[in-house]
Amino acid sequence: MTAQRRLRKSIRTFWLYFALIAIVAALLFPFLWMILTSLRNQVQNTSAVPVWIFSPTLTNYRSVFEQHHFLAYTWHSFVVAVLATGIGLVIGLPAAYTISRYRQRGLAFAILFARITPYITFLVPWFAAFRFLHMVDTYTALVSTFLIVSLPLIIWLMITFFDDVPIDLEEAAKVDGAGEAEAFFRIVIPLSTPGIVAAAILAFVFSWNQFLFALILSGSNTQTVPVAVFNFITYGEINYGGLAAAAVLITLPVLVLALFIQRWIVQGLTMGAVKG
Amino acid sequence: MLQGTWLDRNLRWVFPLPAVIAILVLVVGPVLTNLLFSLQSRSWGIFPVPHFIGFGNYLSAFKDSRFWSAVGEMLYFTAIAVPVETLLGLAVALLLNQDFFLKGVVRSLVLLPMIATPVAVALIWGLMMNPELGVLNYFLQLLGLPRILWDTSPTLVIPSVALVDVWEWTPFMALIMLAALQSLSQEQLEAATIDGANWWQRLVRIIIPMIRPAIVVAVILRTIDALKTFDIIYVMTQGGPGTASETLNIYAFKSSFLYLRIGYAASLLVVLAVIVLGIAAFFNIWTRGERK
Amino acid sequence: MLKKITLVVAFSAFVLAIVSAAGFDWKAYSGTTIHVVFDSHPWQKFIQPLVPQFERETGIKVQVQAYPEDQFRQKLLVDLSAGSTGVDVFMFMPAQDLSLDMKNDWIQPVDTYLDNPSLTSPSFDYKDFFDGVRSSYEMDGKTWGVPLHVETFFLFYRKDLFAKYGLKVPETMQELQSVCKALKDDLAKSGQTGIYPIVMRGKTPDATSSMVNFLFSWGGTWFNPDGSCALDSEASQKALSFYADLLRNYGPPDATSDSWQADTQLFAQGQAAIMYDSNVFKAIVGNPQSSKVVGEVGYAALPAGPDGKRHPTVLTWGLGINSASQHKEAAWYFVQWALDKANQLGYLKAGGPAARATAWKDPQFLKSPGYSKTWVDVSNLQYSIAQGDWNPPVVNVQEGRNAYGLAIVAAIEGKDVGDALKSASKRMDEVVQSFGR
Repeated sequence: MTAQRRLRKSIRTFWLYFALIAIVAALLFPFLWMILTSLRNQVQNTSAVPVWIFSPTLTNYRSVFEQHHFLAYTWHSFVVAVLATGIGLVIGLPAAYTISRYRQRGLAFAILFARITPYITFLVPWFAAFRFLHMVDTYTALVSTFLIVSLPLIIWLMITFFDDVPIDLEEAAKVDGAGEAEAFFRIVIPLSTPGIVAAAILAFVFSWNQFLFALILSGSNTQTVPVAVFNFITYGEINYGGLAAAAVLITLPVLVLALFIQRWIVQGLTMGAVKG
Repeated sequence: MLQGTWLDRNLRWVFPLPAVIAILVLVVGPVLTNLLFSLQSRSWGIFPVPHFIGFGNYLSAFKDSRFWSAVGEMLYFTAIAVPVETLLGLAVALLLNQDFFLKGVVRSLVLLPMIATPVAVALIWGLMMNPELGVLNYFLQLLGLPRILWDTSPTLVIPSVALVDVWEWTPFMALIMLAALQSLSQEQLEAATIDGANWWQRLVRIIIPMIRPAIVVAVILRTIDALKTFDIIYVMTQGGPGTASETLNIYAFKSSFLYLRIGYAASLLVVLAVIVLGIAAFFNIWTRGERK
Repeated sequence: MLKKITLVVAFSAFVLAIVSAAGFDWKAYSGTTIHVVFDSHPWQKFIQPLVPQFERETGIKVQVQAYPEDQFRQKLLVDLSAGSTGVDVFMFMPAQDLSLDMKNDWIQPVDTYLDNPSLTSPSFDYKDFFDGVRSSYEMDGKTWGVPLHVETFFLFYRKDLFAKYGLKVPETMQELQSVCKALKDDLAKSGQTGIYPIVMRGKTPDATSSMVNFLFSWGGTWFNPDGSCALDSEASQKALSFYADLLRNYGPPDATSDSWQADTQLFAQGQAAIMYDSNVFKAIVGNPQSSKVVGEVGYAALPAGPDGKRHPTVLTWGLGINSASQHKEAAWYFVQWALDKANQLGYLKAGGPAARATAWKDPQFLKSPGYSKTWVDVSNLQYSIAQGDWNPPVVNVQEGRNAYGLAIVAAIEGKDVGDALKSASKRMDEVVQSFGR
């Protein structure tokens, strides 16, 4: 009886690990393949049978940097993502606070609306406006449109954080003579630091990943990394290694950042509907 | 107690004011402008001169076979991606809810696909799906299956891009459901076991109904985003071959930035927005009814 | 009042005279930075490595951006329509872009530069460009750019395979089809499954440029005399059926995703027996650095249509200047340098069909290692009889091209040719209605 049960248990364990390994393998394989491809030369990459064992080369990475102003694009992406995040925080934190404390549903709904509406709906009029103002290909154009990505993430994530800050603490501060604004800056903000960091990283990651707005609104002065990479792919004349190296370079920074805030990612992406 | 400063007294509206302005300028303004454009014949340049044509763009859209095909591709893509993601996501969530070695590490790894830059994701899947040299066809061959054309085939292109979407977003579904699973009370689960219910009965009768709200949220969010999918499709196929993967989003993009038909594109976007917002509203009302 | 004007005119003439007397100076715009946008294309591959030479000679700094064709067209359209100052010089094709660019004031006429001896080097010799090609860049009495090459679509074939299977180079469309069939059988018999009998464009909108020669060969036209689109005519249906059957039966299975990038790749890797595309791709398939079949490439004219005549078209790429550019003179310097006699000769030697007459006669070209008399003869034969309307003559070419391209894709996929062309025709009429011809 016990032996049978033990056997059943170990069979169950076997299938559990089997399934887990299968899932992890499926999720990681494209990343693995991307890295392998980026380290192989063109001959190995165009071999009919995949080459698994080879002496890695950094040539692809070197060519990406040498031929394609990759550093400049990285810088553009960085500037735009940082500004969109920073401005998003400055605008978003106070708004999230009053939404949390005063249940400002209309505003909350408007932000949800921005998240749901297809981005291209905004893009056409924006392009028309920036064209009129001669501001296409400026940081201003990119940052202000990227706010549409960062602001909803920040506000919705911060609402849930501010909800969790005990109101007693603010009341106590008010008894000590502090105004509400002071209480916000002195008590609420410091207590929510982990949340603010999470919101900032999340906003940064999704600004970094943004493709559509930058595709149209960036130009030679502001082209971001995803657009630059898209702009040098043709599946016709394939430079597998170079493409893979570029893919690694775009996505590695965000993957690393994401690991720091894993607990909050789902919460941020579900507009606070689910707590991770 | 009297609150001192002007800011304290007016905090209710001063604090959200910048956000309100941002939303007016960045969201409300463009949406209204878009509505206006949709009633005009207009291009980007000074030529042809913009003029009002009433609902002409909408009428042309409804007579345009490419519009209907785009609506079809959009629904087809969503109808493949979302159900597969939901079922797989549930399975993954149930697995991750077990106890196993290196649980924390696995949970971190699961996050990576949805955080990775979509352009990079599309790029690498594009390489893997290459019919001649791609590794996926190599795997098919190892399994004794025929090689297929993946995203270069008019019939397989939507399933192919949906596969990429499934890879990218199944973890998202799984993590939402996992959060719900973890909040279930142990007593109820155990009670069900004692009643002699087997694993499947427990799943269908107890677990799924209990995490149903989370599943609904996940499905709503994914449906909305799947309808709007742009990056992966545009990078991998630009809507091709022909118009086989041209969703409404892609067609609107091409109409405005390649064919320069801004008025027409605006009308397509209004239709798209109505579909997406309509589905969101429908789900919202439906779930609200259920909560009562 | 009149006197004043005369005075001003006289004074301007005086100033001009001084400037002209100063002559042309390559260093005049030293220190300026210009942005040039190229299509990833054999000409760009040729010129880009030479750009530092221009920078040294003029002191002008050049930022080159090269994009694959789809992205190139998309990007340039957005940049020009945005009035972006981030583009100074760009590649364009008159039959594709000029009408729209001109009507929107996106492109700068270059007459004033050409006529100004202080801005144009005495050695530039504009008249050296072929007459017929130059005229493509003239519209509304102005000149809008300078040609960089003149191309025409014909057949590339593998001499070794044709010899091995005892095949004759096709002279007519019917022969082309029977040769493809023979190749398919012969290749299958000898177990050469990795070689397609023919590769040609199947992707929208690129396939339009290659399909058009078939359209004309069967006697089809873009428009009827009454101004309605003629793509649904019987001739057009026959032509498209032929093209689509050829590609579906004897081409690669993913043909509808392929344009010249993939086709030249396949041919250069020895995976195709015939390639039908532009003569410019000698620069790829005839280049030992990118091709495994260099010694085996034969060239043959576009086969004759049912009427017994060949109906090739001629296309040209050139350089234009953005009218929103803030460095137009420096941009013009770049154009002159990039298309000067030495660079046009170099391009021709690299396999590109340069637009300057002198280059084709230069002994350096005639004795160059890659020289092919057949390539020259076939190209010249086609130039002498070619039509220029390889694109639908409408203002919004991009959409018109794509309308036809979608019909080509549908036909290759085996859908009803008549239906496909009917809807292409309808769309073309709408394009004309909204943007004009």
